[in-house]
Amino acid sequence: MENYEFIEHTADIGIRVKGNDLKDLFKNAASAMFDIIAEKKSKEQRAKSKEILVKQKADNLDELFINWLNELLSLSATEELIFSDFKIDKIDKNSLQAVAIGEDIKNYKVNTEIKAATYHQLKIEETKPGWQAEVIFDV
Amino acid sequence: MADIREVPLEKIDDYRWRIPKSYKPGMRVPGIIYADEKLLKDIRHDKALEQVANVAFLPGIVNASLAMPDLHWGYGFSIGGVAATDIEQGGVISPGGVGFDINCLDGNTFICNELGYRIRIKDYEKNLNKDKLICMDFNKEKSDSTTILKFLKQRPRTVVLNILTETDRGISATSDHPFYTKDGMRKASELQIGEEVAIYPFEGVIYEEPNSEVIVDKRDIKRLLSKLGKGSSGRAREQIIGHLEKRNLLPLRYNSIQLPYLLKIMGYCFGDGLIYFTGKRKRGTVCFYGKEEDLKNIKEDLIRIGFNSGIYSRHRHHRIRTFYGVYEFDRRETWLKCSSSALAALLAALGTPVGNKCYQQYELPKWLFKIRLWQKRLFLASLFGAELSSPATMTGHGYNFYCPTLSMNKIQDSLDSGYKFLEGLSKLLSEFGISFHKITQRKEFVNKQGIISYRLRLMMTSETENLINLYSKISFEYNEKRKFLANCAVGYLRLKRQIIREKEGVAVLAPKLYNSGKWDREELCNYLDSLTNINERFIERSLYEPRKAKPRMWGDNPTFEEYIKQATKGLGCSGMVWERIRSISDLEFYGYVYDFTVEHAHHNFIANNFVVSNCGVRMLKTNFQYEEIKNKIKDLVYTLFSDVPSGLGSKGDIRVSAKEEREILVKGAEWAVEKGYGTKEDLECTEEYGAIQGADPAAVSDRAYERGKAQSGTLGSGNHFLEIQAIDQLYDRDLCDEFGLTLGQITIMIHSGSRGLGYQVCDDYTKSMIRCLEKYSINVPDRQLACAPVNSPEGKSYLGAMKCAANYAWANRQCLMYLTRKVFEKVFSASWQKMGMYLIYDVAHNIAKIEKYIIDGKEKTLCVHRKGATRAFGPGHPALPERYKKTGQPVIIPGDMGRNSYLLVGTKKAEEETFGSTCFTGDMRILTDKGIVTLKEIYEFNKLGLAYNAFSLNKDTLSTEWKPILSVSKRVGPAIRISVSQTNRSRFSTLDTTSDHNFFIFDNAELKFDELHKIIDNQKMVCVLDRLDIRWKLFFPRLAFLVGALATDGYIDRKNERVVFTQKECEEKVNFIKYVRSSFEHVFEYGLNEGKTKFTSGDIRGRVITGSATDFSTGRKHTAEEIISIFDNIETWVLGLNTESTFNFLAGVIDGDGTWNPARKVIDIFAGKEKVIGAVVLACLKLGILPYVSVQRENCYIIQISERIEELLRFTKRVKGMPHRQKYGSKLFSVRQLFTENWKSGDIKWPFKRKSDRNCLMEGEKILRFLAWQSSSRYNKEKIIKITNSPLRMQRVKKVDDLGIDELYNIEVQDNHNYFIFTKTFVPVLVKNCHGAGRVKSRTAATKSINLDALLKELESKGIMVKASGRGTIVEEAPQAYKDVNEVVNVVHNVGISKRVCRMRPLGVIKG
Repeated sequence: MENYEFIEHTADIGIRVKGNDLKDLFKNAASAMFDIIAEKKSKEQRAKSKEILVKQKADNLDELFINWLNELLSLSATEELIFSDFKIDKIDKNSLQAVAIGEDIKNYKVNTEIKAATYHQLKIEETKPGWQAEVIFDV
Repeated sequence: MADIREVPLEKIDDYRWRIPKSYKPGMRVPGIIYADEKLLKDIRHDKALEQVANVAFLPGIVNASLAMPDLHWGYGFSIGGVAATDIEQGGVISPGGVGFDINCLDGNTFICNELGYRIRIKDYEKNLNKDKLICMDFNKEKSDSTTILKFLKQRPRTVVLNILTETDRGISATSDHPFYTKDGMRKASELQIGEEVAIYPFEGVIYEEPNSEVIVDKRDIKRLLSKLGKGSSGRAREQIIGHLEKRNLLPLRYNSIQLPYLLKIMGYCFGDGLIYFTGKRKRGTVCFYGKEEDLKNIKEDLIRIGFNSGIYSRHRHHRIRTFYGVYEFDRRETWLKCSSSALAALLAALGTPVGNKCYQQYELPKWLFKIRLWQKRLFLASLFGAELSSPATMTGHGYNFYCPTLSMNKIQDSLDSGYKFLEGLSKLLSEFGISFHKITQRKEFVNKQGIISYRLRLMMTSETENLINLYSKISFEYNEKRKFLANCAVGYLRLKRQIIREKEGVAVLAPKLYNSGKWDREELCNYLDSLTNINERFIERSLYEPRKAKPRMWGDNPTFEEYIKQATKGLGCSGMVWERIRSISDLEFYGYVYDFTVEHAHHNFIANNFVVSNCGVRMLKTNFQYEEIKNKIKDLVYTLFSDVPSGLGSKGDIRVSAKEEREILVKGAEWAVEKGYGTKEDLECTEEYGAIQGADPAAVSDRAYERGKAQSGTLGSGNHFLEIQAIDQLYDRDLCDEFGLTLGQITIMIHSGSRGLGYQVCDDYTKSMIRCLEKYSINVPDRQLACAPVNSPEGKSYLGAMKCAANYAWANRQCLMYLTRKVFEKVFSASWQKMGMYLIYDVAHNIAKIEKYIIDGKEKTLCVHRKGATRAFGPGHPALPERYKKTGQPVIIPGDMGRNSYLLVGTKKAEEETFGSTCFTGDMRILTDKGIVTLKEIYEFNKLGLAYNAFSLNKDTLSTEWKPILSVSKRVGPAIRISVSQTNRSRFSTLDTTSDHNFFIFDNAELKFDELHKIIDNQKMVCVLDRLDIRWKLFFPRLAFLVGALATDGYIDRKNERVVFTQKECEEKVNFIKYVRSSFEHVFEYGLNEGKTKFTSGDIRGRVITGSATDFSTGRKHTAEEIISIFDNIETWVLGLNTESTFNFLAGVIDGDGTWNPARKVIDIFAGKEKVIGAVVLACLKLGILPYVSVQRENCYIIQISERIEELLRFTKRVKGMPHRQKYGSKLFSVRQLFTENWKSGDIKWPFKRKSDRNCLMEGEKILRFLAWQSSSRYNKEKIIKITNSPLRMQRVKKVDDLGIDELYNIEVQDNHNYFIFTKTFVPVLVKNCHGAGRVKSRTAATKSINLDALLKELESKGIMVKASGRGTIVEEAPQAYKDVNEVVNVVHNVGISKRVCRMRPLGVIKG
């Protein structure tokens, strides 16, 4: 899963992520985030997965983006899941509805704890092939 | 909140406010608040002012209750020492270590033991075992028990007070001993008549040592078992005996330590207990029925004697036919069951009935009559706990109590034994002075078994004395409710007795006075009314209707129920009651006083802070050296890694419910300690005691709760870590000694935060504060900096939530430390205490805080955010725990992996800015309650938090008094030297000061002050102290003589703790030597041994002098210790002596180093030691003697005494002489300054005119004599008389020298704003405080620049073992981004913000 790249940051972790459209961008950003957090212990093993409905509203796209990621982090912590797949049903600049699919955290090897996605140096822009976002994670 | 708004504030300047001492009776010092008006408004919302005022109640508080600018509203004072104390015993507390602040009780004071016996506190010296005392848990409003840690015995150093309450309870304690009042702990000297103190009415009985006779032995048990039919097969009997022997219960003796508990258990068994043996094998069981809380107490006692038991409960339906009718009810029945044949057999062997008591024939076991009274009490009290009726007043009456009644049911066959049993009881009761009324018998209904039973009732008399005896001496055990009621009843009955006595008195007095014909009715009523609490009606009736019966408790007096409400307000069910103080008087006291230090340290005051943290670091030490554990590091790291949960989403074993989580958010680390994950001591070593007050659990979202639930005691990831380190460099040996750290020592550092809960709080509020940016028109370039005004609802809400996160973090680190200690215990199989794994400090370093700073010369209030910075309080900071007052706050700077970490301490760099302009040089001495102290010393010690009281003049009454020194300031400026003396010719009596300092003068018989240079220019005279009026009066005449003699002619070998008294045994000294030796024996019950005689020869001014001297000495350690402790505080000690003792002290000094000067007919004392001179000067001043001190050579002083010689010589043994009859008057006043107006207007007569013209001094007595002949219309007689009677005199002053620039000090004295400063030759001159603002602005320079988060991981292959749960790769990708911790520390140290203590090298790291 190499839809993202690390960007230069002193203390925290920053990534640049791309997507063909907004849905794709949001999905890839979330995938990247959980890729940083943990890796699966055994690739073959297929465990029971759980689906969780995520709805978010915001004043603008930036907020929506950050809220989306932080909501996932929060859910991940409380539900004790690591999300690996995301289906984004609806998205516009102010709202989003999606389903996050995750597995029990026990099946994963945790690498880094991300405390939050931050607004610091946040950039979301429409590029020629689609969308691109830069976000810094507080680790 | 209304009352809080009323906290009065006096404005000092724009940024300082004072809560006057008068705000609440009991405030020892004013509160000083640093804030501007706007901030103050916010403070008013909070309870801060109230808190500041409350802190001012604390004993030992430093000068003023301060709310500093950098603290804003929160920091309560660190008190460290308000320990849990049992109030009935007078408050047992020792403010650790400071010699002259130990406060004590009279040795005859009874201390109440947990087992209900009383023992004199002085007897604890012999008997200091594992005794537990009753003490008070202020938070739970419950009584508790505590272990004695330290016992103290010494001679009192302050006046001993006798305090009597309205019900005639008395206690003697040193004046600084704290008592629990409605305003918290207060010193005895500050208690007022009419004020209420908490009393624990239970008295118990006096302890007597039991003998060692055997009550039950092996044979008794064997006999019993065979009687029960318990077979000898399967070694059953041997097993039972073996069990009992193993627990030291066989043979059981009168002095067995288990007997008290057995007695209690037995007593209860006789009531609500049941013993039975069932089955073929006759297994024994003991059951107890009662309330759960009481059963728990029994359970604990069973554990103490070695038996386990369980508490069970069930619902039961009851249907009972009684005399009054049929009752049906449901009840939850609780019982305690102990299935131990051994216990059942032992109790049975002791005489406890087996089976249903109704059917059995049994009496009180005979041996019960042989035990000590206090042991009998235990049996009776728990029997009463089960069976005796509750203390209660008659329905519809409220004043009179029912007869206490003990009842038992018996069938016809066992009726006789029932009577015998009750008669036995009444015999026991009579030993306590309790009489019984009668035994009644009543036929009951047929019971379930179809047998008729009879109810026997032992009724005690309900006379007041009888009830007081019953409830105060015996009371109840295993019945908390009745115990509480008994205590209340004792309080009430004593009050009742007092009121009735008063009434009786009035009933006799009133007719007597009335019949004398000198009083009219109204006068009489008013008079008697003022004497007592008795209403007019009673008095009138006494006059007209002489009563036949005893007066009763009617009318205005409270009923028992009302009394309970009033007397236990705020004391809960502790059993304590409030009693008013009726009188306080000084005691002429001879002997020792005593005190304890108890274990139950109770910090009621938890520091409060505005600050928030969700990340911090704590450091603990161990006893290990690197060499000792280097092979174990791998084991440690692996075990730590597996036992301490780390990494993302890691969940701990310490799981909590939502309710408990809320508790964590409020209580912080204290929660963990309560759970058993640490000790109170840990909390002391945690910033804020591990919890910020004001955390608002409601401000934390459900999601955050969810995330926090399982993460307590988890390390987390990111830069968080747990590290084993070795100290590899010491920077400051003294500080290392203070912390107990040495080179190579192993330390552990834990860096973690509030985990998921904190992230969620942050996330939630970032989200909501983004809205605030618009709402409050805040413009920030980065939305991650979303914020709201601190005072806005959002800001406040955030603070409330942040505090929760901070508290959670402290609890978390406490849990992590607990887990770490466990791991060490596992690896090394030793307890953590044994391994010395004590916490050094825990400090948060992500902080937001309100502070004031000077910016461009203006004071501004700032909200300083500290991310990755730590606070660093300097030495003496009030928020620091006692143990770090001296060193300053430990500052822990963790390095990242592979890098060194550091321990530093906060400093007080450049803390003072003084704006005052008048001062003295630092070597000038002033008179304080701690003796004669230099200003510099006060300045230094003040920084350590030591409080001084200055001797000061009340300008209105012209009398002297002690007043707290509020602040000390220091600056640099030009100084001059002046001399103060009677003749203006003294070369030695000098003071170094500034020319504008205000000195006191009289002007037209009014006390005024003026700047020094003006006084000198106008040839005016200044006021000096004439005598010390101090009411302290310790009575130690012979000890005082000894101290005087030893201070001059003795030698204390401190190292070997020997006292040596060296004398030449010539004829004139024989009496003196004899007296010293006999005094020594008298005081210490031990003599001085005659030792070697040494021969010396020397050369003095060309002549050869030979001599011999003999050593008289003692090597007794305690004696030497006692004398050393007096010498160490000799000035304070002398201040406390009464007149006779003071004379004796001076006589001892004179005999030692004094001589009679026949030419001038005075006594000269030669002294070299400054402390001794100070003490001699103070002793003289106390006796109204004005010593004339002169300096010979550099350090030799001659003290000349020319007054009260005749009296003095009565006490001396060696120095004798024929004094003048004539009195040398030296209480002189400037006539011109007393009669200023008369002199100016010319309306002045002889002899005052001539003296005024010449500006002469005149003796006070003479002035009065001449004045008596004059008419009062001319002179201001009243004022002049007041002045001549005041403890002041006057002396001339002149300038001697210019000193140039020097360091200058000044102090601020509360209320009076003046103090006495000594000239070089000890003339005490009255001077004013600095008149300038005199502001000492203390601020904690914090280590703002240390960005801990930004410290780099630099893994080096130096044998540092790292175990991390994550890849941990990404963080390390940008090493340049981090500052080198070594550099950071260097900067911090060199700038002076903090001081390096030592450096630690990592050995093993656990990382999230």
